[in-house]
Amino acid sequence: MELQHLSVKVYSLAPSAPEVADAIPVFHRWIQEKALPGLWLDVADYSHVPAGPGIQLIGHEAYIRLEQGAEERLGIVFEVREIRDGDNHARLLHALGFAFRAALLLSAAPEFAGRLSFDAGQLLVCAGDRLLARNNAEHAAVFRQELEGALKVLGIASVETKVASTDSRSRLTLSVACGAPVALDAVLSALR
Amino acid sequence: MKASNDAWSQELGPMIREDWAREIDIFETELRLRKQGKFDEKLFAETRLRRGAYGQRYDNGLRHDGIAQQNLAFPEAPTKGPMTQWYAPGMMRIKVPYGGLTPQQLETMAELAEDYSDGIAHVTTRQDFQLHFVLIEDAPALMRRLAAVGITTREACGNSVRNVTGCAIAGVCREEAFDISPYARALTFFLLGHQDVQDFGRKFKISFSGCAHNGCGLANMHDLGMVARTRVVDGLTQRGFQVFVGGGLGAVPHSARVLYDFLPVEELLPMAQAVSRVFARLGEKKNRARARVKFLVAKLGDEEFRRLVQEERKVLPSDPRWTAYLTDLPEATEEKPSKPGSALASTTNPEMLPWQKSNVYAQKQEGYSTVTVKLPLGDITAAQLRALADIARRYTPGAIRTTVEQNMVLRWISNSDLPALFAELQAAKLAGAGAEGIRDVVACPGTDTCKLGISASRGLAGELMRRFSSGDMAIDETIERLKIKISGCFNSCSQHHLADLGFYGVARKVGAHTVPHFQVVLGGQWSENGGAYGLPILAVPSRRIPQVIERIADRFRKERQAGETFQLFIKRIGKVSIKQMLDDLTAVPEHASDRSLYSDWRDPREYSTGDMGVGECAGEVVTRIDFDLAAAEREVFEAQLLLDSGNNDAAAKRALRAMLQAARGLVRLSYLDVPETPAVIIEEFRKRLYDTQLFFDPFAGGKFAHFLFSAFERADEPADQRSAHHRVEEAGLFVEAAHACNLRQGDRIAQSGLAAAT
Ligand code: HEM
Ligand code: SF4
Repeated sequence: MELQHLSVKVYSLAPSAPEVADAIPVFHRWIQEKALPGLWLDVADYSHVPAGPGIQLIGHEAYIRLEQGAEERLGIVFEVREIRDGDNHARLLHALGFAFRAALLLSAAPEFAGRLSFDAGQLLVCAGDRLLARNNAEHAAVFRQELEGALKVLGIASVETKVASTDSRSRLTLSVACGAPVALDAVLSALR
Repeated sequence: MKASNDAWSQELGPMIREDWAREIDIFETELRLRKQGKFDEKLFAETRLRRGAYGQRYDNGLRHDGIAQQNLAFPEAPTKGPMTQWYAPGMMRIKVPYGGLTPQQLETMAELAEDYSDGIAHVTTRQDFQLHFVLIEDAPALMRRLAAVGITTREACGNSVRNVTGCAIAGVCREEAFDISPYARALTFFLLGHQDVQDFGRKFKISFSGCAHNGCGLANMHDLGMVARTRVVDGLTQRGFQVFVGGGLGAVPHSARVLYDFLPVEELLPMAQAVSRVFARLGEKKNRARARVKFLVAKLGDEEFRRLVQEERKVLPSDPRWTAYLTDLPEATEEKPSKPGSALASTTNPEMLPWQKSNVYAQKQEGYSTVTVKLPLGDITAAQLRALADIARRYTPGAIRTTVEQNMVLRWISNSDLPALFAELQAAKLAGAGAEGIRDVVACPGTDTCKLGISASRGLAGELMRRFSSGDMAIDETIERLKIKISGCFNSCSQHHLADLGFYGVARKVGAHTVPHFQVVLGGQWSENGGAYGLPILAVPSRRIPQVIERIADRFRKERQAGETFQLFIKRIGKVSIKQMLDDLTAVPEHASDRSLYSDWRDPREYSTGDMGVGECAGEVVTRIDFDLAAAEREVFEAQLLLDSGNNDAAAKRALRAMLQAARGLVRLSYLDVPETPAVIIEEFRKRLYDTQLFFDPFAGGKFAHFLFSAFERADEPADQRSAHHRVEEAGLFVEAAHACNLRQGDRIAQSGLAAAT
């Protein structure tokens, strides 16, 4: 099993407070100010789609979005578009790290200040390539082990990981839940 | 690029039709060669277009971020076509003949939206699907995955036969002559890749309607439109089509002409082949702007075109495919219901009632309904596609269709299942009421993803839908069935000419800045297969369009006469009075005092038409041209009024005058004292703006200048209603093009003119 095109959704602590459309000016500013590493191209607005991908920052290497998503739970998603070198562990650390950094940056934006914060202990992690990582018990077991290993490095322990959907049409996805909220900066300092 | 692209070939190999597999293999080879610089750039562009891989906004690597023009630093690689960066994401158009889909195909679409796009599949106004932000290197794997479930993207774009469209309720419609679906499918696959359709100068759009009086198939606005009819010969009912040719929207809409009043179904395929050959042989090839079949028909005349088609038909080598599909054609419809029909128990669910009223259609087959699934702006998520596939399997014989209003329909629902179906659609967030009415705004991609977009059609549409659903804009019975269609530019991809309230994007210069606007288009008619085309009344800043709608709707509410349709209401109160009512909305405050109109809907970037520099030295000259162009616009409007009053000749002449006025304005930028003599204006315009290509549109080239030249040449010919309508429409576009030219190069012209003068 190979993990490529990973995506990580970090759930918001206050699930329903802000409108996703408030992210539009923030994402445009990120492009203008080159606030994130990588090549960022444009902002796509799907706020009219219920349970949809919300507002997306479209990049060459990745997407970032503030969405309700199919889960109907507010969160920020970092999704890798490019093919990444390294092993599964390195790719997981890259995706988790980028997602947490983007989450911190978004919650600090004046448009959201005080209204949006994220919990690094509540995640949805998707193995994006459905052919390389299949949604079956065998691959799920490997994925789980890899993910728990990566989370441990970040100091996110005593987590419960579960296969989000056994529908074989869905991509292999694990949900992560920690008993208590985990602060983003603590996790990010572990990454450094 | 996706890591598993190569693996899909092996995974799906045996499931793909051999000829389609070969097609995709060839494309993949061309793609590799192009990347190595061993395949011509222009050739690659055409080859990818014919396979549905289209360009997308910013793929030239330039984007204005609201502060300045930026170079998008994509990795170095050969281009995908002229001025198109290899790694820039593009759009993939996926053909869905007459909108027909199976649950399995929906599931594939869901996967592709997740794997190659941004999680959204988009239904278009020609029943296609589109995926955006797709990388060219992912295209072969994407195509293989589609081919494995029987879908091809071949000839979805480019100068070819585009998706064949047809009524979404064909086969279940209470008013149709017969089910057009099998004929639409036969023609689709007969023409797909056919040698006689490979040499067109421009795209070719085909549509089927089951009847003449409804709007579903829009035969009137197609290059080739078929309307089903029957006749009785010797006591036997014969099926056939009334055949239209030479319709089209685009910049100047043309109503189609009748090619055959009754063409027996056996003749459908050979007729289309003969038309294709005539178009390929005689259609314009060099000048794209005049290459649609409508121009050929206009040039040759109806009679001569028909004669040529008939001559061609006589010499066509016979082909068994012409009639093979007819042998076991089912009597009524090919879909077999999966459940017996039943009666609907009366419902008391208050949420279901409005949905039932607007989204449920009683089929001609007793006991069954067709349900419209309203998709906001045509968008649907992967999870929703899967839910819809499940619902379709549970309640229908797998019968799904996309519609030209960017929705989907589920057919053959046994009536007693409607409450359960409604609940499941609700759970999937797909049970929005008000389908095909004012809440269901249709919009083209506009500035979101289209390279030609001038204004944010989707941004405006999204905002209107938000206001309707939040109650910020009230909807009552008088206006709830009105149709709003919004295009990002004059090309009319949302079919704004056929809406009650149509809009298309234009830009206006105010001082040194540019303000996004929409032209307000009124008087269009959706029914009668797109029976009448609306005309633009005035341009209003984008941000004020909701006020335009509120004012017009208010007035309709207050002044409507019993039983009067919106179209007749507009005709009765007249364009002058509508313009008066909206005129104050056109005033734009200075940038320094209020910037709110200087950005578009849902896009906080300060608006810009691209790489135009802001010049200050030519301020005075710019004021003069603005004045000239405003005068030209007024003349266009007056021409419209003359047209409305049936004064065709005067309308055509006034339209020419409007063009001359705008042309003179542009000439004056470099030759202040140009006389008002038309011949001199034309000569100077040709020399200073046409021969220098300064007037050329980046995409349409010299198209709009030809409107002026040909109007001038024909100034003395008498005009009938049709030619006057065209002339007025052309004048509007010419003036728009003059605005655009002024935006692009006002300063340059002024400076070069000054340089020439000194
Ligand atoms: C990539 C962005 C697009 C470009 C560059 C584009 C370009 C054009 C142009 C130039 C025309 C004028 C037609 C002519 O007279 O030749 C046109 C018409 C039209 N397009 Fe598009 N288009 C785009 C996207 C779309 C989309 C997404 C749809 C929905 C399927 C669409 C549907 C139509 C329709 C319905 C018409 C008018 C009907 C007609 O004249 O045949 N277009 N488009
Ligand atoms: S109408 Fe214009 S902006 Fe809209 S899709 Fe067509 S070409 Fe693009």
